[in-house]
Amino acid sequence: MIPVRCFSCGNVISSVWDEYKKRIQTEDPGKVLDDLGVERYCCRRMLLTHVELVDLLAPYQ
Amino acid sequence: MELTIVNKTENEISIKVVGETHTLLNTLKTALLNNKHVEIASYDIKHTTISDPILFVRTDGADPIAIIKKAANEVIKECDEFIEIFTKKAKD
Amino acid sequence: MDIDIIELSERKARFVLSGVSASFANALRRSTLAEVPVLAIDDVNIYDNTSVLFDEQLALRLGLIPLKANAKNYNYPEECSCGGLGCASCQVSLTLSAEGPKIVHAGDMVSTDPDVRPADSSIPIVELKEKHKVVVEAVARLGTGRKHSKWQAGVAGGYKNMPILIIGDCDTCGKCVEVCPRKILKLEGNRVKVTEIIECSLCKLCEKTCDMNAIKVSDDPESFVMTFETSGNITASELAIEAAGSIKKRAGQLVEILETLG
Repeated sequence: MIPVRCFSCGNVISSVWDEYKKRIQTEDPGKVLDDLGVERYCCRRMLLTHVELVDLLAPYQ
Repeated sequence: MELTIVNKTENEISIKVVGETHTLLNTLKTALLNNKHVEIASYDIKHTTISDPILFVRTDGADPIAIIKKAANEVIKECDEFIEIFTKKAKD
Repeated sequence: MDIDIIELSERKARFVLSGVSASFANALRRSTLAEVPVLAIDDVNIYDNTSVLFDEQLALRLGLIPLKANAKNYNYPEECSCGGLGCASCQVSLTLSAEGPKIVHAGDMVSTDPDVRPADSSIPIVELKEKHKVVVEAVARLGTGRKHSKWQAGVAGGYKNMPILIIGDCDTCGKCVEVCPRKILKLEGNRVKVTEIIECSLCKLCEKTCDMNAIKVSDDPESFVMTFETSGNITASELAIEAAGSIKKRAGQLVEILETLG
């Protein structure tokens, strides 16, 4: 799951995750982040580098 | 907040301000240094997370407690001024 | 003291604060981060959790969700008349029950107080697969950022001294315009003009590149460009006022105790 807040500054970044995930299929991630108002590079790396593991773990629950 | 007087003489005082941080102490220090009766005003936090700050003031003979009180009132005035101006400007 | 507001939206404030000491500006910044009380989930009763997250991970995620509420309606648990046992004036209960397959969002939580709700309803809490179930009751309490960052009202607060850029005799070579990383210099006729002085990062690259030593970069020690954001718990203007109010309250307490000392 995407962390709720940015590790460095504490800003909430998970609220744009669903939209971000959908839009990067067709758009450039940098431009999507600008558009969603994720300004600082600490917050941007949270979304850019996130790897979703839920599907990987679910069978072992 | 709690105050314990560590040491007090005619023109010097050191008090432990329990439960406070740089937020109040640093503003207070600046306000104290603006007073011409104050010779030294400083504070020390021994350990960043577990110690309470100790405020030290030396005056030219004036009552140090009265001088700290005056400085704290100046801090209050500054905050009041900020709140008043900010509220006014935020409305526009 | 003077304030010049550059930007003030619900979650972001940027203003020039002039005629104050650096210590006041810093106190204000520290206060926005650590002294302004807001509500956050502090206790979680987990009745059922068969999701991919462990109980404690789930509780942590719930805690970090910013709650929009009027914090003035609530007391600190340790200062409440109930003596910290928990009552309607010091805590709010939020319940969440969901069954997969679906993604549970912060907006799915049901609060007992209609005025208290998650600031962003689109925060994903957990993704539930087939047969996964989550039933929790969360208790939100008032706190400050000094104790835990989930109670932090201000986010990314900071200030810089107001930059001053003086351009003297210049041969309009344009090197400074090129080198400025913030792109605030502009060549206009036979002069170099500064477009947005507030954006200047005081890097002094223009000063170094100028062959004629015509540019002088300095800062005003009594004027600050302050910026802070909130995570939605309170509005940015409320935050600024509350932060100053908190310093005032502390100074007031000090005066009160000093009165008794004589």
